[in-house]
Amino acid sequence: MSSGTPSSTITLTSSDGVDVTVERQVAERSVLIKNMLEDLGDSGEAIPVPNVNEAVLKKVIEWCTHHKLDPPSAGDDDDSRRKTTDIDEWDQKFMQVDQEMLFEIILAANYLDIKALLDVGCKTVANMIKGKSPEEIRKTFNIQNDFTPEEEDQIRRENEWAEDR
Amino acid sequence: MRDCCICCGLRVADQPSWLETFRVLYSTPEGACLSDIGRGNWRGLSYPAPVHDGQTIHTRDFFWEVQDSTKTVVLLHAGCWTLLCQHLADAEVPLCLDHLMEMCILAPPPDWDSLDPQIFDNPPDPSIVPTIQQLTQSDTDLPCLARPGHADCFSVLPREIIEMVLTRLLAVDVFHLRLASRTLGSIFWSQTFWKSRFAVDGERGFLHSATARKSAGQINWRLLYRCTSPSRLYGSSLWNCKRIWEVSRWFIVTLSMARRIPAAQASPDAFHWTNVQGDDRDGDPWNCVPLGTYFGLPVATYRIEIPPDLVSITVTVIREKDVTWVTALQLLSATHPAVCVGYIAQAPEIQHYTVALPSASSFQGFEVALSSGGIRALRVCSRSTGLSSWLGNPIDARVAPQLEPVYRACLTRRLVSTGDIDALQVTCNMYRVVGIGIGQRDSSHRVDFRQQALWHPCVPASSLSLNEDSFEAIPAALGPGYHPLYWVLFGGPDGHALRELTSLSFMLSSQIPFYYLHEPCPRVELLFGYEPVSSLGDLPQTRERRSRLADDLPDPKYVFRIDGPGGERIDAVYVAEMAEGNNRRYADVWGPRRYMVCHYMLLFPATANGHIQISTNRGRFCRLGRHPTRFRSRQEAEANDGLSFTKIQTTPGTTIVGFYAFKTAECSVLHLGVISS
Repeated sequence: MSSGTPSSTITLTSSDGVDVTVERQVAERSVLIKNMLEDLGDSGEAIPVPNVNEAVLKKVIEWCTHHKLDPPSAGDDDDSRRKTTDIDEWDQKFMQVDQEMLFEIILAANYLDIKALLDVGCKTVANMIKGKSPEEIRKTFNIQNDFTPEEEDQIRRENEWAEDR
Repeated sequence: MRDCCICCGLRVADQPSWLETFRVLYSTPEGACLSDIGRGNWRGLSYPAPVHDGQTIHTRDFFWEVQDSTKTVVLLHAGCWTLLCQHLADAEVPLCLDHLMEMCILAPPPDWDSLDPQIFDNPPDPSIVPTIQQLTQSDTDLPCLARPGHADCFSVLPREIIEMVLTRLLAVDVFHLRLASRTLGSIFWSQTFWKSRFAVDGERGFLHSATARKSAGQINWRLLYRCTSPSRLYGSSLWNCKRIWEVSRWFIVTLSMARRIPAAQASPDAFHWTNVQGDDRDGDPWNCVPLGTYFGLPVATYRIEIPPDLVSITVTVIREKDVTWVTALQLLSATHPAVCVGYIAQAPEIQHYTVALPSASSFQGFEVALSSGGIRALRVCSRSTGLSSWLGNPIDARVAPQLEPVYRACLTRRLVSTGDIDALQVTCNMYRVVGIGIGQRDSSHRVDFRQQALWHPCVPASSLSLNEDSFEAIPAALGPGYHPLYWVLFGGPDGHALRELTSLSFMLSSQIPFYYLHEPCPRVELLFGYEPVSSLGDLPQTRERRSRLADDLPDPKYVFRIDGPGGERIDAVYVAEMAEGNNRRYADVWGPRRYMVCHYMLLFPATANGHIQISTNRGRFCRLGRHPTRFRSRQEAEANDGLSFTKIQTTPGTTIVGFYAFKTAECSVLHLGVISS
């Protein structure tokens, strides 16, 4: 449990050893950090974020700062619907990063337990795949085609097995 | 108004029994109301439906006898209504009868093409849904096959995140992904992924209620997906259930659409506007709904200024059966809030396509794919990158590639400008964009007939001469309204096919087929209908072509033979002014009868009094149309029929290789233009 009045800022230490000071409310968009602060109390010491480097951490903090006043559960939780791929304007611009950074943000959001950011990341990846041919997908994600003709044929057969037209 | 169920597309009938009971949704001055369950009176051929105040609606009157534009009636089988309500409830879309009534008027026509005649006569009851066990018992699952190999970028993501991504995609996208990424191949074995197909809006959403009651471990979702593929279900009760679910999805999406209106509108007077707009008359040019409305429902026009720091344009489309319609446009700028106009909903049927622009000044407008029903697709034109790919689909998706030109929407480059574009105008009906325009402060927008006209199947190449100086219908073709120009090259782009041309038929009212080397089937055909719905185009021997031939084989009397192999060529086309009233009288008789479908009127030749004459270099001629006066020469017609012919002038040194045609919807007058090369 937290002791006394929580201070307004906390420090996070990235995996590459850089300290980043951030408003507590912003950091608490991360359920992991929020729980840590609640469980361990705010000792004023830097909180290590071992899986996230400085560049990604700053990007995540930028997102959390913009969304600090959002209601807590902004994610898509309803399993009875197919999840949407709509992304709001600010998030679209925020996600205009290279593929490596996009995946890093997703992994950071997953580790830090920031559901809404994880959702935005997954939507962005889904939108990069939607409506594309296999060749276009390879180009988008810089994937080398290393399938043998037999393997490709096998995948096609599996696909056709499922979508028996 | 349709005399068939809005959900299943079938009529009320005494057999099978589920077709016998029905409800009607009907308009009253107080708003839309729903009747109680009625039953067909087969002896009297009426459809009495009881309503709440003890009265009865005899829907026969509404369908056939009362052509009262203030009354609208929508028919639904009782079982279909129950299914529609269930689907709306599953999707948590509230049922508002007034809104539902409006959307019923705009609903896509029933998909009769997919109905086998036997099924049409005895359609299975959609309320009978087999159990999961019954559906899967006759098949077995695939064995899992591991494929080791190099990792790709997706291998850094844990499986649950990959599942989060893939549950947002259609199965077809995931199939493509498996062929692209070795890492994602294994998603095929994820039950979570297959289960997501049965979400209320997934590909197998019609089974959502049946599967939602089961616990996850009880179902092999992959096997169930396979066992419920369209080809396996065809003709079964579940297949009919799926058809109704698909119609329900359309209602769910359109009823849940939110209208987006820009906060600030551009002044209509501050700009010079260039527009294109559909003109929805249900494919029937005589269906005289008030101009500027869609089926009598209002349209609204919004004008927005292009932000100076425009960075991208997003086009939102709804996939509706096999076509797409644009529903909204969004302009994203670097510093200002985004401006969105049109209708948006969160649903898999709604897709967004974004085109990035380096600056506002690089935006040069749109190439537009248009049908009478509205904007089907757009291409953004940019100074730096040229035309984008199509945002939306200008082609009917179910059509085989060789049929593409037939089912393509009309195209125009009227909204592509060399000058700056300062504003956009968007006209919407109840859920989609039906018209679009560009606004410019500087009016130096070049008027070029080829760019400005609305063409089907595509804009003619600049190497072809359109001889537009002799095309008298330019003002009408470029004027307000929906006026597609259909064109065909019967001589090929360079005239080589003229050597094989052996005849054309001038009897048919909505097309001129061209025959080569005495073949029984025409190779190409000039359409001059209202909508591009039926044409042979450059088709191989397809089933569709053969069935069309059986229907439309021209009477040899109306075939004009041309000795192409012997060097005979069409060398002149003469047109005469139409006498006012001669054709217009048909519109006067039939036009004002709203909803009175009189397609047979299309059988009247567009050129009833033969005002077009085609001549060859051997002095032979035919006059288009089937009136006996066609046998008269131009000179005789001038003397006897009071017609005055003018020769269409072609560019000197060119040969006639094609025609383009424009038919006014109101009075069916054909205007012919000549393409030379």
